[in-house]
Amino acid sequence: MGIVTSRKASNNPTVPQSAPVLHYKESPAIGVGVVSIDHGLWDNSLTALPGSPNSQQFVSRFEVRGLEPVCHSCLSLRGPMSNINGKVYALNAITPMKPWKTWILRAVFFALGHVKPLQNDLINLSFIEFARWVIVPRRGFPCLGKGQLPEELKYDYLLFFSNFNRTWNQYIDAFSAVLSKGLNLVWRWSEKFPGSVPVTLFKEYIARVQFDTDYYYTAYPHASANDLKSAHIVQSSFDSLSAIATQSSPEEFAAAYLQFVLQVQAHLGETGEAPAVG
Amino acid sequence: MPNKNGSVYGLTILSPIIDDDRATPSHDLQIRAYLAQLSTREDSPFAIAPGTHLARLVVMDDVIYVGMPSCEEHLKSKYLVFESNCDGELDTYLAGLADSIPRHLDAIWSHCVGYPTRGAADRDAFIAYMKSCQLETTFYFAAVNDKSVPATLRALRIQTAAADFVAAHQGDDPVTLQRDFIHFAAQLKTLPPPPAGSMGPHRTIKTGGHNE
Repeated sequence: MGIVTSRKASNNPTVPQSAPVLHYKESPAIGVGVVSIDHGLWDNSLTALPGSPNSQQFVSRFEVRGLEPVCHSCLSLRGPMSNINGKVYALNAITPMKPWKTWILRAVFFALGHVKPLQNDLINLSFIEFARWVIVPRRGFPCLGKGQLPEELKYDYLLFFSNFNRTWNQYIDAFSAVLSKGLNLVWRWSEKFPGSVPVTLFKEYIARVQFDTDYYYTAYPHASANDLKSAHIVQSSFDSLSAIATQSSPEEFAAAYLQFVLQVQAHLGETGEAPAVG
Repeated sequence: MPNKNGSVYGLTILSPIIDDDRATPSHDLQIRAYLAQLSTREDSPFAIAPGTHLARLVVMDDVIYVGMPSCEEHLKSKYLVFESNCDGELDTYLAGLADSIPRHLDAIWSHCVGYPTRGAADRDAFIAYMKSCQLETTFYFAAVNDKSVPATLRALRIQTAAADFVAAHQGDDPVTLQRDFIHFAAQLKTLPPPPAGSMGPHRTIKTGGHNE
């Protein structure tokens, strides 16, 4: 059983570039779809799923079970892609680390958490709403007994979950361009990490260690991280103006209103659905 | 405390999924099938329950092999990953989930090892179960870490309404401006909180700028 990605496959010179024939079949018993591929190889041209309820749903990860590849993400044929909700993209990644190296990474994160200026680049990448890294020790996977076998692993694992705006490519590009030193400091302890620059190898690595989201919810799908920051600035100024509105003369209010407009004019951008990206 | 950033809590839960050869379809597939039909909008379970900014549910099939010379290894269980960015304290949040959306919680987590027999109806057992599957976050970043979900939704509404008000009252005399503003602010106060998970009011004005 192997897991491959279309990006990896397309870069492989041994892969024939003829387009395989895709068949989409919906299973009424479980309400999900299964894709079979006639001759099992594919390339980046396969970005749509002919005959599927939503042709945008084709994704890149397959689990090959014998001769019948199963497209995992086709199991979640909802309206929007499950990695995306409104303006937010959910990225999940998992990378193996030798256990002795995780202590170095813990020290790095400790420094990052306690020396606030070290977070400036992360804050300045203003399209990240929430992000987290979780180190799972090789014996740290939850084991509840009741028939569950404990894991027997050689590696510790680093989980990364990010909620960001814009596209996957823009995110990884910006990460590589702005945070390359920080990223290297975090991921250099993971096996086979190629470095965040040059970006081509970095993207290949992230694509390889990423796994897809099955369900993604956000309370404010129409708002980006910048929209949120702006909204709080407008709301704070608005509340201040409201507090004095009934107690001032019309002329005093007009002056205060002008100050309010000057304060918030750069923060009144429209929120709404994200533009379509190709 | 790495699980918190300001007033926002970063919850990470890995629940082992039942591995039963006799189950058809398998438990992980049943979870995926249920999640696939679950709304992500105003009627999402996480919009109904209080306190969730963003949340995801992911079936993690296995760890990923990155190639030689690293060792290839596999998990013995599949895990349901629940990643949530929520308000306040963990116990309060989990209790809110158990009280508001027990049917959904049971439908999802009943496929996991060790889930309480009575499900989320047994609130204390549910909270204890979720905590037993929790992983400590090593580093947690939040762009806005001091605002609750209702406060954020209110701010977004005010932002939209204020933009419309400013556009509609350009050049007004001070008396009209003050009168209309007081009326406008009072109206906004009486409105219920905007629904979580909605795309907000539909607007036809296109302003361009950094969001486009």
